[in-house]
Amino acid sequence: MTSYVIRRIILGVPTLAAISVISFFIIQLPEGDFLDRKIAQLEQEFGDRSSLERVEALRVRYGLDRPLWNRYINWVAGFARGDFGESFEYEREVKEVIWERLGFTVLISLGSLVLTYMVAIPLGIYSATHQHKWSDNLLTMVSFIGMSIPGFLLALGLMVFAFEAFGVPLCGLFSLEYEGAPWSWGKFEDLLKHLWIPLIVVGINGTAELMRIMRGNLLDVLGQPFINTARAKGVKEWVAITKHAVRIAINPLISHMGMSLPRLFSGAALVSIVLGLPTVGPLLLRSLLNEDIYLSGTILMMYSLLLLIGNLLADIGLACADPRIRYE
Amino acid sequence: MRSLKAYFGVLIALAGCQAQQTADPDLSHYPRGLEAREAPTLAKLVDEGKLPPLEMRLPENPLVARHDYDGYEGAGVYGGTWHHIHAAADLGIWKNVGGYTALIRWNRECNGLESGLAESWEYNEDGTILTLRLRKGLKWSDGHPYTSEDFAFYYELCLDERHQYNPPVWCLVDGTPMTVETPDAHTIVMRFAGPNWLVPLWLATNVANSCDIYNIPKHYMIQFHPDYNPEYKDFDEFERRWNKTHLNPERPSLWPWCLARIEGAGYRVVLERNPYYYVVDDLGRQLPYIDRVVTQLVPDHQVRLLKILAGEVDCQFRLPKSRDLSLYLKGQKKGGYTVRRWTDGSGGDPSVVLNWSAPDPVLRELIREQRFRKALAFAIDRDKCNAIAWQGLLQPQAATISEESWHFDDEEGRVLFEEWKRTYSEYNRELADRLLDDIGLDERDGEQYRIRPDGRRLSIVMDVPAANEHQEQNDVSLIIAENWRALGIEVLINAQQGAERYLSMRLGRHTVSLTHEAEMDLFTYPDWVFPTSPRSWHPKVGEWYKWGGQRGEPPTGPLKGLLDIYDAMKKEKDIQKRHEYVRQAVRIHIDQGPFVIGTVARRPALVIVTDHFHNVPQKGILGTWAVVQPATSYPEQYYIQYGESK
Repeated sequence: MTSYVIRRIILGVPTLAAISVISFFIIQLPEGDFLDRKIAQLEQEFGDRSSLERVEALRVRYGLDRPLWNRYINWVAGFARGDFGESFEYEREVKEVIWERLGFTVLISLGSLVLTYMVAIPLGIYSATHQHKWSDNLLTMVSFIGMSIPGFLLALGLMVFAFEAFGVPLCGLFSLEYEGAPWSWGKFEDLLKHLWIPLIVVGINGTAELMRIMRGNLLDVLGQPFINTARAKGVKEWVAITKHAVRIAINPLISHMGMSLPRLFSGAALVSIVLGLPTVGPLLLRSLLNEDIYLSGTILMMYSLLLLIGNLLADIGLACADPRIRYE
Repeated sequence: MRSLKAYFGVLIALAGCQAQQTADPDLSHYPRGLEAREAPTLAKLVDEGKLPPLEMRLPENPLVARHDYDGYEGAGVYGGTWHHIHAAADLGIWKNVGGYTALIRWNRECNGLESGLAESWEYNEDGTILTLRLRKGLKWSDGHPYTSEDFAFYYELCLDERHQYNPPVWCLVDGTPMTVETPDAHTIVMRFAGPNWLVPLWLATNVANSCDIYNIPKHYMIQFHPDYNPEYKDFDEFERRWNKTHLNPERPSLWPWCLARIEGAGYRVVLERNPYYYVVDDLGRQLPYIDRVVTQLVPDHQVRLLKILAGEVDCQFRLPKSRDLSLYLKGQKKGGYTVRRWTDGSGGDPSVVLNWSAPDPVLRELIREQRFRKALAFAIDRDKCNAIAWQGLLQPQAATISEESWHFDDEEGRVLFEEWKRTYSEYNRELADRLLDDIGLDERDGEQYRIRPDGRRLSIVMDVPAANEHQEQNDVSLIIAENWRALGIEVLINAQQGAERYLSMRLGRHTVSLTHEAEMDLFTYPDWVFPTSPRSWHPKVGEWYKWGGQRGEPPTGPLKGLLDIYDAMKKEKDIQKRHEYVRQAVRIHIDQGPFVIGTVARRPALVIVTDHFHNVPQKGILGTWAVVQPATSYPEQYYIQYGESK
């Protein structure tokens, strides 16, 4: 097991390297760079050749005059010392910019991950054990709706609903008076009051999907002979389900978790833009549009790393949950 | 289910409770209302000895804010927080509200200049020496004096070869930069290599171009200057802090509210009042009235809409979109705000730019043919553009600069402008068809498209902004394409994102491109009318002019005439005669144009003002950045007061 984990970690390095190359070069495929936007602005301001010289100086400062591969190597070489380059737009270090937004990003993503599993697994079990009853049919219908509504649309819908019904826009994470105030119990409560919308919106697709998976798997397992054996032995029905059936049926959900981590992050990105949340997502979108290359490249790398870590954790989790699975 | 709904209802209601900004009880014994000559928060600091008294903080002759406009309600009370929204980390929108601390200012009517940090300015007889007199006793937000030294320091930096910034364009005469002398702490003398009459305008025009660049706190910046601090070997750290008024809270500022905190990488920016601000109301009370500005980054347009509808934004310029007008109007009562219809002052939203030096030689010849350009102009159904893209809120017209521009500020000027606006703006398909037939484009291919002189199909690529960047212009482009196709011209729409469209326009790669056109002052931003820079309809000739004939294409025909007028205008002392030159140029546009084809213009620029927010003007112009509105109406005299009584 240990050697397997180590091997996986080592394999992750070339994967990340490949991702970094792709993300760095694709970002810069469109014509023009951040400075071309800047030139537009400076020319508006100065309208003369001096502004062009000025821009050339900026180009040197940002290293945009050097060839692409050279810039790439400089960028990647900095990783080892924790240097991810400078954001052009914010004129600060990339890691500082991301760091300021990371807290809420993690909060929302992990929060909805927990919410997703806490809601989806019990409902999936309930749905499977009550197959074709009206409650199952209702849950099935709800989960199909949940799977097919895009998160950003739901967010907009909820906001309009909340606004029409109660007259407050539910954007942001705090009410006006707590925004920027030091942490207090009141502020925490206020956060909880706002947090449920992003959590639900980010988690809804995953919840609906997991619920379907859980239901299907459990139905498969419930028909199998060992469950009948357990029942025949006189094991109570709920013990047979939770101890014998669910333990097998839950395996795909664990491997699913590896995938859901990055998906939650990118799902949170769209929703954050719509809800105006201070997370990394809107930062990524803007940096991509502006060709703020080091910032967007670093965020993409971070997402990729999450994917790798998620997968690894899921595999390890799977091994722990199901003694039959061994990695050699 | 019902209980669930009720539960959410309570949550939402709780979330929405807004604590009203109540005054700190400590402040209750300080004068309030109109008796207070400074904000109670500052009065308290003075009592505690943390701040010098008001008399020491104000200059000897403070600037008195003008308030002779419709919408002014009277002197205000101190206090409150202005909730505001911004769209990008550079705070561009805010700078046009609270960042205009220029040496010389545009007046609110945009028809002249008024004093700012400089009390007065004068030229010598031949326009080679400009003397500015600063107000005595001006101070940076940290209390350090603002003097002519600061300007001299800025200009030294411009001349410093090690430093990336060059002398600004306005200080050059035939390529020779000015010299700056500072005989005393409040006098700046600029000497030019020849007559240079436009400098006061340049000092006043466009925040990002003027005060944002030349107002530098020397005492703070020298800490990072290699000559003053041996710790630094280069200008890297200096650059990072130089004119970053919007990014560096440590940097002393002259703004009415200075940057206090940036949270979440620009997600929320807090500005606090500047205790040394140099402007007072006519009772001699220090401005600004409002204590604090909190501006939040809201990238999504729908969310901005919702926040405004909910009354969470106290006063907002530039961001509310005119296509949401009916929604905003409907929500006025519930949201507790009113919508004021300012204008964007545009002469084309969009204007259709035809590249005089289009890359394809055949199209280039066609575009230089006046009848071809006229045909394109007559073919556009402007009423349809207006109705479909803009819900009928704009007006159909030819491409012009802003109607309010000071170049047309008399009877004769208005008549001329009216003529310019009307020429080539009617919809006349038959005439357009006839014009094209007349220039020999009467042959058609199997699909009814016209054949060019070289035997190929007449086909034009039109560069337009992508729908997510500018929905309305994108819509208009579809109607133009339809109209031109009906004329027998194939139109390929090329939607572009980000810097692409700008770039292709600068390099002159476009044939036809759409762009927003609005300009108040052609003395400082001449290039809509005069081909002086590589952009818009004259990229190659503009390049030629800008590089002194070393690059680009020499001007011919009407473009030569325009450049001759521009050169004469630059040397003219008398402002009336300068306006005269502009009118001559407009005459060329009328007689030999259109060079840029108009569609619809004059978008209502919506301004949101909540009911407790006072003194915001009823009218203004928000399209062009040169004249810095609303800052020219002194937003520091806006105030917040709930209820009726003062």
